[in-house]
Formats: sequence, structure tokens, C-alpha cells
Amino acid sequence: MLEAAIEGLQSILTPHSLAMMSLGVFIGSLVGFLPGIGGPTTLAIMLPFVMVMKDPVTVIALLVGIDAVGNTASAFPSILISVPGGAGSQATILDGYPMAKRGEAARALSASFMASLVGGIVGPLILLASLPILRPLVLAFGSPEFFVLTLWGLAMVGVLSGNAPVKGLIAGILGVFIATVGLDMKSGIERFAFGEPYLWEGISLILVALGIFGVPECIDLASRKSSIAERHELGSGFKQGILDVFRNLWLTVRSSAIGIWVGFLPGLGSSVADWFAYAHTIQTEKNTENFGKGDVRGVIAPEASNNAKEAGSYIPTLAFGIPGGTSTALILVAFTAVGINPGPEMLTTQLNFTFAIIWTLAIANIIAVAFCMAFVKPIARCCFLPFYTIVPLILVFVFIGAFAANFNYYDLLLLMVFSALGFIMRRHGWPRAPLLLGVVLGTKMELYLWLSYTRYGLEWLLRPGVVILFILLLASVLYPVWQGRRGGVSRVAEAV
Amino acid sequence: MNLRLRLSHLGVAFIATFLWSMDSVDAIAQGNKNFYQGKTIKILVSSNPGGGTDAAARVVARFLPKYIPGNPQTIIQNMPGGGGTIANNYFYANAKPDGLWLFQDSSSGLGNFSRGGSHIKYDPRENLAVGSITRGGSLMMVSKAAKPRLMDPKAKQVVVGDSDGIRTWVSTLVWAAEYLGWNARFVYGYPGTQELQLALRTGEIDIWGTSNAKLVRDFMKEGKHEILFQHEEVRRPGFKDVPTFVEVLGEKKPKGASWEAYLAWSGPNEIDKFLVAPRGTPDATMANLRQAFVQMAKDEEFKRQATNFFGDAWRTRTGEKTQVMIREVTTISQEAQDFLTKIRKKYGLPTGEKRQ
Amino acid sequence: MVLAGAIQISLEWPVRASIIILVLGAIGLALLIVQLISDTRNAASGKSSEALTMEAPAVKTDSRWGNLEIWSWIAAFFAAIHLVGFLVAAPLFVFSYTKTYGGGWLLSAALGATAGGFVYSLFNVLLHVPWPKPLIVLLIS
Repeated sequence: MLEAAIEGLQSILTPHSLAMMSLGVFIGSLVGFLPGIGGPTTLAIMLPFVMVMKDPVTVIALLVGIDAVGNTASAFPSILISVPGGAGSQATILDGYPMAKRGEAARALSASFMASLVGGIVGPLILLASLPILRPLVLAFGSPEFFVLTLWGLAMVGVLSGNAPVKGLIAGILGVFIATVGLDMKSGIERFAFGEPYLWEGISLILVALGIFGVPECIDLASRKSSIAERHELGSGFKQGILDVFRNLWLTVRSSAIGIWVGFLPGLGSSVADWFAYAHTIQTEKNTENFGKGDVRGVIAPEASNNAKEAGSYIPTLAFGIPGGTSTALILVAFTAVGINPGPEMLTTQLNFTFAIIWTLAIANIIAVAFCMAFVKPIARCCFLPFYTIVPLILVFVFIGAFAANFNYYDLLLLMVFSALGFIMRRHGWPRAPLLLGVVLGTKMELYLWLSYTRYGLEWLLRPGVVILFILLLASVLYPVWQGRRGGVSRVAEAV
Repeated sequence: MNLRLRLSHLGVAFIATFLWSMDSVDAIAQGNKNFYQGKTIKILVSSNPGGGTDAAARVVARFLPKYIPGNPQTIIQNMPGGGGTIANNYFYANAKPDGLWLFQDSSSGLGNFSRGGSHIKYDPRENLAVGSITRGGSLMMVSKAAKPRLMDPKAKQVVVGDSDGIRTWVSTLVWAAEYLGWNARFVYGYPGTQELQLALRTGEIDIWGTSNAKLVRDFMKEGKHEILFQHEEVRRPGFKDVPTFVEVLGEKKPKGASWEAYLAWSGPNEIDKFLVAPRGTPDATMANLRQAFVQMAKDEEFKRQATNFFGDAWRTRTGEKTQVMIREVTTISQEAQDFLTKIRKKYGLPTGEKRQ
Repeated sequence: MVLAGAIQISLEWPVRASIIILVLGAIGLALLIVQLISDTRNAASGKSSEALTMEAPAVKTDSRWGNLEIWSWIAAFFAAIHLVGFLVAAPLFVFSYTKTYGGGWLLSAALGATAGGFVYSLFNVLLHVPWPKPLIVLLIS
């Protein structure tokens, strides 16, 4: 194992590999910076080039480099213009954007990058430590366990609804309804597709996120006819942000752990790791009255977790050749093309490649953070630019992001629909985060419940994994209530 | 005129005709070489980047131009959605028969066409096939612990897992349950291959079919599963000791509408990933493209890449053969269609009727 | 209304497809009624609706027309994409908006060119997107 680790490191530390990694980081950062266009699009662009490469280490350095850092740079649009930079940076908006409006963009950005750095290093470390138990770990999860996990995710709707739980639940239900659009695998029925093949594959999450979060803020900006930052000063935020992470180091590490554990669940992790971390923070931290109004912890937690989750998504990939998400699916194609066989060999005969991946995840994160930190101040000044320069560009990029998913003009129509919905929700004070969670988790919950019941009848309720997860779920829901009673701060009182 | 003279005249005439036709072919080839030089062929793909159809398209896109006179460039255009319907509709309506438009589709495009509906605005039988790559039929894996229950009607039913219940290999197990009395039930709805693989490993499902030989070998190495049969015409290399489904059926193989229905369901798999040009593409262009496809299939580097992606049981079919097969799998008598609907209902599977 | 409509449609489906709609739809309708009652009570007693911690304050605009203006621009951009294609609509939109609200000629042109250049590089050069034909081309031919 040690030899493979050293061999992996040596292969990554060559000038050629480092150059490819830096190129990957640059491309990944650029794309992460652009709203709506995420890692999957970039990897799709890179695929033709990569398929003609011969050297596996080059492919690892480039593609894993791109993948590892998309979430770092995607904090820029989330914080500066309230447009999700990617699926993993939605929760960051809730506190990041209010900070930018207060003139604390530099602080929010540097905190997010520092948190990303911690997440990006803790993630691979945990991955490394888990190597011996990877396979049994992945095998411990069946449909019943996945169901309880999705239920846990949906339980957070309550947390994310703040003091409007009823509205939050309704928004969550609406989100689930949106997610049901499309072809239902378990019955062969088109749901809410009205005979349109375009809708068979459902509505893409990024479309909903762009519409619900991105466009309404743009409208706000255009209506106010001012710049993003209501106060024109950067302050000494840059250093402050870095210190914030160290002051909240335990939170940062916890969020990274959440990121990697959620990230490793195939098909589930990518879009929810940041929400899990955010909700966990609200449930466990003290003095949470400023969450949603610009609390830096609301930036640190999701950013740490969404970088750690990248390492997590490699767990099923390395153990079984099962992609943990869209970007790992594309990476697998590239790996296959150069003769890296994802699967059990990654833990035996190809262990050196596994280590090369782990090292790349860590090193690429460091390079990315350094790169992004260098640009914090100049880019944060965007917040002072007049609205007529920002608004049209944001809108164009939002439309580009929407179009880039499927290259279909219908997506733009849907974008308009969700923008209208997001605008109305924002105007009337309806929480939007639960809607997104509903979209992500709703049908998965339905599916896993269906599979559990069809396969096991009611016996699935007695599976040890299910029981343990249920207990953890209840603990996480009840803990803040218990803490509230002990601490003397009553959430019930706050809501009245 | 004596015979010798006549024969020699004939011979000269023959040779002259031969040479003239060679010149013509050469002229066409030259013409086509000039045609493709500096040009770009667009290959429309009915799936997202990274999917199986996309991988097939990219491998073909890399090697096919080498053998087309003029060595054109190729670019891939992805148009996912509707299980291939969107791309099919688009290609049918917009593709120009100028030799610069090609379409990489998969058997789901044929399946959707057969199932019908108002949203189907294409006819795959009108496209002109350049060639196809089939990854090999599925290998049916069963967990060793569950296998004894398969033949025992009193035991707990063996669980077959699938994504949407209409995969072509599912047909084999349905017919096995019907005609061999196999004690199986079907659970479907799994989002994809990854989840199914995991479910087989954890024991959530007992039987699953996949054509990915590498994956099957991984499972065999782990020792908890064995292969029941293969969904193939002839035994795949590397799996010579595994019987085909037809061999397993033996004398119990049904005839008439039942077998026709079986072929209609399982047939498209044989075609798998196929490349077509739009209707109206000139014969000479088609000849070039088809010839290039055949030559590409012999290219060593292509073979290596294809094996990387598709395992070792992949094979190609010529455009002409693919064309015939497309027509065959999209034609089914009403009696067979009714039988298909009935048997699917019996085993709790989607009926494949027209969608709403 | 949306929830009720969805429930209505889903009644025709087999149970395994419709159950989630029916169950959640019923809960959703019940919650909506609760919310409506709560809002009505608050309005009657003069309290503002619940303070939120997860949302920016509800958008306040000085004039009704503030939002309508930007919505018109967005709608026009959307229409332009269909009429003349994304490649033309993007730079046109950016240029027009910037110029209208205070940007100079140079700035507006530069930003428009940036937007157009980006769209072209990403979608044409890198992704080879099969653009649908713009309406104007269809109308002319």
C-alpha cells in the first residue's frame, strides 16, 4: 500500500502532470465561475480531447483536476450575484449573497475558499482512511437504507423553512411534484409530460435552481437600479474570512465529513451535500438568528462539504466502478478509453492510480484555492459595478447555463416559468430552499420506498441499517429542540 | 466469324467494360474524395455525453474518417431526451442527404418507434444504415444462493431486477418463467446500471442481465454468482461453456405468435448501436460510407478501443445487414402484439402499449 | 389550484405512479388551507406575516413598473432568441440594455461582443450545438 501511495504521488508530481493539473484547475475554475455551467458540461467538452490521450496519469491529472475544483470557484456567482454557480453551491447563496450586499463580499469569498481548502483536504484524507472498508461500506446500503437517507434529507425542509414551516412544507411538496414530471420507471407512465418527449427525462435541477434563485435576484437588482453592494467598501474582509474558518474549525471539519459521507451515496450526494451541511449547522450551532441574513458560518459549512463530497463520489467509483455522479460518470468513460479499469482492480493491481486520484484531489484543491484567492479582491469589486453592466451579462449567462444542459429551447421556456415562480415566492416571502430539496429528493424517496416495499414487503423496516439510520435521523431532528430547551432560547418563542 | 475471334472479342469487350467500370468507380471515388476533402461530417447522438451510445459514436467518429476517401473531420452533436425520440425526430425532419449528416442511435429508438404515439415523428426504416456495433448479448447472472429456488415453485420467488422492465433481456426470463416454469418475479424501477449492480451485490435482487463481460467476470471472481445463460445467437468467445437461451429452452421453445412476440421484444438488442444516414443519401456516398465502416472494423486500434469500451464480445454488422434487421424488428403482427401485451401483464411488467 | 390540478390528472394513473401525488397533494392542500387561515387572521389583526430567517426580505419596489420593466426586457430577450437565434440575441440584448440605462457606446459594444463571443466559443466551437433554425430564417424561406 505504501509503495502504491508513493508511486501515485511521484507520478503526479512530475512537471508534466502538475502542468496538466494546473490546466485542469484553470478550466474547472473558469467554468465553476460561470453560473449554471457545471463540471459535467466541461467534462463533456474535454471528452473528445481526452479520448486521444494515451497516458493514464495525464488523464487523471487533467480530469480529476477539473472535477475537484468546480465547487470552489462556483462560490463566486453564488455569493456575488446570487446565481448558483453549480449544483453544489446553492446553499451558499442563502448567507453569501446577503454578505455581499452588506459590502462583505471579500470576507464571504475568502471564507468560502478557505473552507473549500479544508474540505478538499479532509475529504481525500477520509477517503484514504476508508480504503480498506470501501467495498463493505458501499454494500451496506440497499434501497431501504437509501429511503431513510432521503427521508432525512426531506426532514431538513423543516429546518430550512425558518419560521415559516407551513410555507416551507408546501414549497417542498411543490418541489416533489416538479420532480415527478417525466417518465416514471416503475410504472412506465409519463407523469405530467402531456405527450411531450422533451419532458420525459424530467426537469433538470440546475434549471430550477437558476430560475428560482438566479433570475429573481437579477430582477431585484434591475428594479433597484443600483449595484449589488449597497455599501461601496470591501473592508478588511479578506483576512477576516480566513480567520473565520479557523475560528469555526470544528464546524468546517464536521461539514467536510458530512460532505464525504453524503457524497459517497451514488446518485444522491452531489446536489444535497451542501444542504445537509447547512441544515446541520443550523441544528447544532448556537446563535443562529442571523442565518439567512449573512452569517459567515452559512457560507463555511456548505463550501467545506461540497469540496469534500468530490472525494466521496469517488468511493463507489473506486470500489465498484459505479459513478457517484455525472462528472465521475464522464471520468469513467475517459478512464476506460486509456485503459484504467474502474472496479475492484483499483484497489488491487491499479492501486497506484487510485492514489494518484487521491493526491490529485488534494493538490488540485490547494492550487485552486490559491488561484481563486488571488482573484478575490478584483472580482469582489464587481459588486460595485453599476447594474446596467451586471444585469444583462448575468441574464445571458443564466440563459446559457439553462441551454447548456440539453441544448433545447424548451429549457429556456421552463427557465422563464421558474423565474416567475421564484419571483413570486420571493415577493411573498415563501422559502425557496425547501422547493429545491423537494426537487432533488422527492422522487428518489418515492422510488426507494417503492423498491423497498416491492422487494421486502414490510420487513425492510426491521433491517439493522434502517433502524440505525432512523435513530440518527430522529436524533438530528430532536437535538436542536433539546438544545433549545436547555439553552433557554426557544425556537417556538422566536416564531411567534 | 469463328468462335475464337468471338470469344476474344467478348474477352476484350469484357475487359474493356471492366476497366471502364473501374474507371467509373474510380471516378466516383475520386469525385467523392474531392467531395469529402476538407469537409466535416456531423454525427448526431441520441444520448448525453458519457452514455453508451455516445461512447460508440465517439469511437466511430475517431476511426471512420480514416477510411472515407478525403478523410473528413467529424464532430459529435449530442441531443439527448425522450429516450432518443427528440434526436430521431430532429434527424428525420432536418438532416440533409448530402453525406455530411449521420446519426448514431440505439435500439431504444427502434423500441419507441414500435410502441408508437403521437410524439413519434420519424420512421427509422427510411434511414440508410451505415453499420452497427453490437456489444454482445446479455449474460444472465444469478446468485448461487437463490438458484435452487428457481426450479422450486414452493420456494420464495427469485427476484429479477431491472430499470424499466422493458430491457430486451427481460424477455428471456419472462419466457423462461412461462415455458420452463421458473419461479421468478420481477422488480423494476431501479434508476440505472449502477444501482442494479449494487442491488445484485447486496442480494436485493437475485438475477440481473448485462452485456458487460468485464463486469460479469468481476462478479464471477467474487464467487457468489454464476451465469444462467447468454442472450445470444451463438455462444460468445470467453463464455463458450454458457448455454444460449435457445439452448436452454430446448424442446420447450414455443412457436407462432409467442415466438414472434419474443423476437419483437428481444430483437432490437441484436442491433444495439447503429449509424445511419438520412433517406435520399446518394448510392455512391452510401457505398463509400459502408465500405469505410467495414474497413474501420478491421483496424487494430479501433478494435482495441472498442474492446476497452464494449468488452470482448462486440461485433460489427454491415450497413446492408443492419438495414434488414431494422425492418425486421420494427414489424410485428397484431396477434403477436396482443400476446406480448398479455404476457407482460401476467408478470407485472409494463405493457409497452401506447403511452398517454 | 396547481396542486388540485395535479391530483386530478394523477387519478388516471396506476397506483404505483400516482400515490405520491395523491398523498402529498392531500397534505399540501391541507397545509395551504392552514396557511390561508393563518394569513387571513394575521391580516385581520394587523400583524405582518411570519418573520423569516431563511429568506431575504420580500422585495419592495418603489413603483409597480420597476419589475415590469425588467420582465419586459427578459421577455424580449427570450423572444429574440427564437426570432434571430441565441448567437445574435445575446450580444444584441447586452448592448441594448447597457446603452439604454447609461452605458456609453464603447462599453455597451464591448460587453455585447463579450457575450456574443462567449456564446459562440462555447456552443459553436466547443460543443457543436445543433442550433434550431431561427424563426426569421423560416419566415424568409
